[in-house]
Amino acid sequence: MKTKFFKSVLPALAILLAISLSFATTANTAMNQVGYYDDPFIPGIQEVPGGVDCPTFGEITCKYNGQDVYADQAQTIQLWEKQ
Amino acid sequence: MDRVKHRYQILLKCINCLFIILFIYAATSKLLTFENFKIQLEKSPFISNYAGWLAWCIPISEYLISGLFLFPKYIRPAYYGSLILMSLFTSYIFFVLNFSASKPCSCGGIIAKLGWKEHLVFNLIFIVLSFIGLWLIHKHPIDHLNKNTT
Repeated sequence: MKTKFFKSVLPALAILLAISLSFATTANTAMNQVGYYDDPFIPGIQEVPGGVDCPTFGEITCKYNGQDVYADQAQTIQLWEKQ
Repeated sequence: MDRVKHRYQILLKCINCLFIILFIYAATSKLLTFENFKIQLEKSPFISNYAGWLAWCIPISEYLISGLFLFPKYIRPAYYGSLILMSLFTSYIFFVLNFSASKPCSCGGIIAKLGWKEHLVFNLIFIVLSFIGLWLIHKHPIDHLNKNTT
């Protein structure tokens, strides 16, 4: 019984755990994505309050207060409106 | 003596499971956010020219290696594969940390939240684990272990 557990049940549980974890954390990341924008009237880079739900690909740029939103503070990863 | 072998076997199974969790988790996370992963690779220093190819190659090799862990016959190639893959990732991190101005992270899921130095330590732990796994296999070859388990 113990052998059967280590031979087949444990790897199956590991696979299941890994897949569930990846779905859970990816969904979580997508929902709480942080967005940054640069308002010329405010010094420094500002963070979008409450986060954004914009992917890193698309056709229309994601905007907040009329400014383009980026995924990083260095403003290298452009965010786009969900299609 | 059999008791010791049994303990070694349990330890080996636990390390196998850790690798299965790591590779399946990382590969699935990458595929779930495939476009983002590809963009990150395109922005990555040294490898941007191969981004399209690598975006498929990395998750597929991770799945393949975790598949090998499921069959006792292929445990040794699975450990060598893991060692090679983790060493490649670690060398890449080392080069990015030391020789690159931009440091984008194209890792999957929650691993992407780690800083580069934490990531280096994380990878080194798994490299050590693969050496331990290979040592355990060398000390108690798989056929021998299987004879004890069945």
